[in-house]
Amino acid sequence: MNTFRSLFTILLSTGLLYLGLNGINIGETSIPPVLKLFSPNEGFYATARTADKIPETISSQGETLTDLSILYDDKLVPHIYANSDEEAFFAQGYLEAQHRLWQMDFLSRATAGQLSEIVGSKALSLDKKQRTKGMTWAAENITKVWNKNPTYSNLMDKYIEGINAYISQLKYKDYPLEFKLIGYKPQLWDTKKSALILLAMCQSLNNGEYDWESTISKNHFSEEDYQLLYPEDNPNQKSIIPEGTEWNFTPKENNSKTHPVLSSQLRRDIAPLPKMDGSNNWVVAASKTKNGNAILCNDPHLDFSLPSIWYELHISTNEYSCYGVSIPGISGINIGFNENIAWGFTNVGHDVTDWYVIDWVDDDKTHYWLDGKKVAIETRIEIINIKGMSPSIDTIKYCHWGPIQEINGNDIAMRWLSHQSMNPTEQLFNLSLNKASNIEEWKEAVDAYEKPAQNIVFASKDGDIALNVSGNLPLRAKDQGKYIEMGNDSKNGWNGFIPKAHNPFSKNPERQFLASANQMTTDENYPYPYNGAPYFEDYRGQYLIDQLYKMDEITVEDMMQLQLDNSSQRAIYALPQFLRLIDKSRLNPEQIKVLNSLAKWDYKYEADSKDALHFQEWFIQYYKNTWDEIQHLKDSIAVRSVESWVSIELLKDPNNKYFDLIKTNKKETAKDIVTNSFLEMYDKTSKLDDNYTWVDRKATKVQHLARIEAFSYHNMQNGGVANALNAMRPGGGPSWRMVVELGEEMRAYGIYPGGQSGNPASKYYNNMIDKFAKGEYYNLLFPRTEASFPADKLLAKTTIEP
Amino acid sequence: MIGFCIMAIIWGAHAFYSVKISNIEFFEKLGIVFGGLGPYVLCLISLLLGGLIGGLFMISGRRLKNLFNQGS
Repeated sequence: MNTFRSLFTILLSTGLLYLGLNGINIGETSIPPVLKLFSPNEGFYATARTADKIPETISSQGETLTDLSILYDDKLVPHIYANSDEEAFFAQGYLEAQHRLWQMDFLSRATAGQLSEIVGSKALSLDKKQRTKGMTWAAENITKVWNKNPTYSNLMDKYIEGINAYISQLKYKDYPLEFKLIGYKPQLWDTKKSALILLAMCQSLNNGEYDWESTISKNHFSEEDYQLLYPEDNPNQKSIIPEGTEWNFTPKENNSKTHPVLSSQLRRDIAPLPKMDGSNNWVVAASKTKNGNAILCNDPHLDFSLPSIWYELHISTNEYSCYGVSIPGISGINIGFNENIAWGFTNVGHDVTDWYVIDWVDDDKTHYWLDGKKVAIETRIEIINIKGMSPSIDTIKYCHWGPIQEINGNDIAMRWLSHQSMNPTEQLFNLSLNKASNIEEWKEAVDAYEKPAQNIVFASKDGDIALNVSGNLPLRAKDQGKYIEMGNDSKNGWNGFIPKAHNPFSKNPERQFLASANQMTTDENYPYPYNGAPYFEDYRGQYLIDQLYKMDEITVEDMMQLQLDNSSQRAIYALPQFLRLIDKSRLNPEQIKVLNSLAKWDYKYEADSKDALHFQEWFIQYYKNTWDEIQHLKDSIAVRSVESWVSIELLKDPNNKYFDLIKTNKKETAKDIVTNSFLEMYDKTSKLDDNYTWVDRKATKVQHLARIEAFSYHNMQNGGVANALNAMRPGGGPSWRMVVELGEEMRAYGIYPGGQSGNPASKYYNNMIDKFAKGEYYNLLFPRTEASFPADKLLAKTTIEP
Repeated sequence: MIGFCIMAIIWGAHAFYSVKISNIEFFEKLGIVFGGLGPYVLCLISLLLGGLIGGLFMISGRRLKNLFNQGS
């Protein structure tokens, strides 16, 4: 009996220890290794204790690196002083892993469709979606192309070695907190993971289209209604490349065509939410500024997250010195400046995703017709590992166009530009840009850029300013790709790309500035057709260009104020018309007070504005009431949403049939809709607390990447709205604000809503958010050498030893 | 009991010290992740887990000793 008791106790103890040290999955629930997690020596306590410790030396894990040192400034921005590109890349990889390893791992997994492996079956549908879109296939395609050029591949390898040098010396106690909480280990990095990070950006910026919604809408509405609801051109648009620019080239011949499939069989019940992140960038010529130096500004609008998408750093080698922000997982500096030039990005937003109906040869769907020939499909087995369960195995079919998806009984192939890479040097585009010292070198760098297509603005100390629409732009037939196309003819797809020399470009224009805010790229004279997706921005570009025309003797401070401008061009267009049309006889004295206040409003979405709150709600109600027919249809089919500028234009025709509400017998006009909407707005907002203002309605949050609320930042206290230059929205906005004056000495300012460290226990985790919300900037330190680094800004120094 | 006490003191003290020298706000937030626990409740859990490990080791050690004694 004693023996049995002893054995039982030993086994029980061993079992409990095993579970406590390794964790367990019970069905959908995953319990992390509790003993390790709560161990003061190894668990989250260790994460907290070491959060802000900067090692004096780090090991290069056998790499031969000489004279490489890293100086941190008081924001925890690393300044890398290296002898060569190899050393600099190694250090960048190491540092990004040191501060952002979990973010890099999570983002690459989310893109590849590998989240179920760490969190279980709750992520399975998301993973399947990513696999169906061909994301891992795309990452493998891109990696193959990148590896073709040994020189570039070698440099990329150094960056990856840096990441892996950090990972390989980690013990459990050193793991980033999220690895401990979720209960998994970091894996070594490779080129494919970097390709996945690039694809994550492409998915966010280069993936908008409304082919399905347009096809369904085209089938549903008469031609007259379709043109009214979905017009091609906004008459108020001001293109990125100045109107009237002459195109002195002969367009490349293109034998592609279009064959839209306008069949009522093609339907999708729920439209995916159209999503496109916008941005602002502009540059003013030296002749338009007070100090006689060109000034460049950029604020890319992305989803906010903690850790932030950006990592700030300075790289200085014998050859160049460059400061800016990088995307952890991709080598080099993405947006920034060096000793001679500065540059910034906004998203181009052309439609680069098309859909094709498959013309099957056989019922088994093993072959399809293409150019009159039977072509066999290819298959790819996607194995999704699921934590605590057996893997899910899917077979994805691929054809000439790309992966095939079954949507509402239709087999449709997806063609996405980002599925492929053409150029092995793509991976080191940032390096070429970081080293460029004049407009010629910059142009050469941006011409090699592939995806996601960006409006890259430029300024140099030499006084040049320029803007290049960079990236692969599909060579299309007119209207090709607007609707779902027939997939049995290869000519129904884009035929290569517009030659880079023909990409829209402007240099030193007469108006002395260049600006982009995701609006239409060119005027109608540009000889190549392109489609906007899911829409071109209607308001920010117009406001920005109007303001820059008016300004002179510009200073850096003026440019900061413009980045922080909360004026809404949409309100500027709509409110006067609302005020003209509203039937005041239907309003009571309290409602008249609100209306009178709105009549005096300056159209600025300031944090404490009640007028902004009232107008926003008024416009939303107006939009819903005007397009009640569309909302009703959306309950059953995925028709396209009408753009808000069309709703404002419609006010010019106050008796238009769309103002009639479907739920009433009366025939409403614009006056009725505007007045009803005001009353609905009043009804809604009058119930709110007296202190409730725009900032509460906006409710901007910086969310933790894994949606851990406690590690997110809530209720950012600032103004702004998506259609203002300060394009704040609930989940995102200006993700990096930068202003650079290119004088004898670079004067640069920047900030992003986050912090350098990805560790929630660090004081550098979200330390910049409050300052960002106040509209303040940091002076960006740019000492060329280690010796010139200001002592009062030095936080710590790290050297690398073999 | 001795095993429980020794390990509970070691883990508890180390956990408490870690909270004291680190960013307390982090532990407050982490407590929310664990269902609304306070920072020092986390320390208490560590103390108990430490004690559990110590206790289990001690008991297992004794049982193992008994087994060897019986065998010899």
